[in-house]
Amino acid sequence: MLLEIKDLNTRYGPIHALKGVNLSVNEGEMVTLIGNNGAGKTTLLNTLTGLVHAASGSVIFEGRDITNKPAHQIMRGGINMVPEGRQVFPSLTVEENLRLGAYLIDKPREIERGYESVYDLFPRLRERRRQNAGTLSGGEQQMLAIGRAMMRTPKVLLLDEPSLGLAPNLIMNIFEVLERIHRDGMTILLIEQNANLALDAADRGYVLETGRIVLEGKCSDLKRDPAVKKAYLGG
Amino acid sequence: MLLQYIANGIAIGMAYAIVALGYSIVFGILRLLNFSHAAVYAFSANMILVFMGWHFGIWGAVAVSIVATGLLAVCVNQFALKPLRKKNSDKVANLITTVGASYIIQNLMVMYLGSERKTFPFFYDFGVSIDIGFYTITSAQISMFVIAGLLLVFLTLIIRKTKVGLAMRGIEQNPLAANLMGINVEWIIAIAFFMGGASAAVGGALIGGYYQLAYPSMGVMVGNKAFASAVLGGLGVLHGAAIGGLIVGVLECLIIGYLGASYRDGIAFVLLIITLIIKPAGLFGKKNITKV
Repeated sequence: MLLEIKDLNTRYGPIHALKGVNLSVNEGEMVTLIGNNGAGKTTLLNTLTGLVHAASGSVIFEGRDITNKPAHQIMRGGINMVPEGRQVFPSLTVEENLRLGAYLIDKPREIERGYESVYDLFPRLRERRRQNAGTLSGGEQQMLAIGRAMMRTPKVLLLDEPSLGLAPNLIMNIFEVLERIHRDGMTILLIEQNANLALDAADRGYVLETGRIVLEGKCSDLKRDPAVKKAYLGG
Repeated sequence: MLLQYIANGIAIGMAYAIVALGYSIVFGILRLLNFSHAAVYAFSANMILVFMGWHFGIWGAVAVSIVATGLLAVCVNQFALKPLRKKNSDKVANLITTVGASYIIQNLMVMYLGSERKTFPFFYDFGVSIDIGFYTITSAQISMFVIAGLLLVFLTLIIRKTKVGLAMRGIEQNPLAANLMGINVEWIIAIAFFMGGASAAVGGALIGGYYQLAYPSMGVMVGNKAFASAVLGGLGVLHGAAIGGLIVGVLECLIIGYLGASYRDGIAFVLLIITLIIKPAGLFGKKNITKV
């Protein structure tokens, strides 16, 4: 098991945001976590990457306990995250954004290879590489955020709502790329509100409701589950 | 006499410029006006005298003071500002804390070094001057210009061309995302404070030498002028700080020449007010283009 979350609890003051969450991701797997707004999906990602303090429980990555380690150290260990709302560096160029994605890499050769593979995934970014990231469209910014996280080939890629605020054709484009990255062997933990898409793309899924995992299983089974159908798939 | 005043102004203006860099670097990364910078600047000149008392020699004392002043700036960040950031305090709390830190530094200097004015060696005057017609440019003015200019180029290269500089620009725009890139944000912030403190120390050595004076409250006026320079040029933009410093220095010397020395300190504040009214972002200030 590459990544394992055991009985994780997170609190914001009096609010108990995560209530004993258990979740695991195997190597090479694409796992999705679906749930409504406010269910605690982003909190889960932020806790596991050290941005938010865990009250109890543990996060095990490659057999090592990384609970409550500083975020930059967790990233160093081989986890990369595409945060909610893309969070590109608006006044830096596309290429400088990607260069920051490769911050932990020192070899110029490897950085060059990183650019090439990202431009290969998203040809549009190559055209715009000298442009400031703030001038890109929302979809292009999302491509940049994913590309930036792929610069330093991570052991696991975490994505927080990559479809948020994008036009349907762009969402399809982004998901095609994610499936391609996954086919090439990348381990992915995808957090999505768009359950239809997420369950189609991923191998296994979890359903989070008000801080608790209420269902888990193969995506094909979850899609047929009446409760999931009713609550997340629009009937 | 006009050219003479301008030459004098360029020399002192370059020194203001490098003190202004400190405001700009820290503002660039934290969006914070660091008002402890003036006291940090005063610390550098006073410490040079202390180190000279310990027989470091003037150049040795300057070198040690540059490091010590850089570390003092780092300490202000680590002990006063970092705890506030951890608690997600209001920006205003950070700002007021820097004012407090400046008083602590200044008063500690008064306690341990005395408040009197002490003679500072004019160590970079090589006794040579170049006469062009009626005008005289001293070797000290040239050294001031060259030293400050080199420092400015050096710091600009660090920020534009190195990985640490790229990390600084990343943190400026999005500290959270920078953190997710594996950047140790606190470490980079500490480096920025060190750069600001160390350049203030170079300014302290140059200005202390120019007026041949050092005392604990010497930072008040120069600090304000440097602050006005940084705002005039556009906070966060290094070459802006340099040009702001030159403008303040030249206007100041013109005023000394034509209106008398008693008006000299006012011009920086007049410029500050005019800038804030007409172009608050400063001459070279960037407007952040953010598209969501």
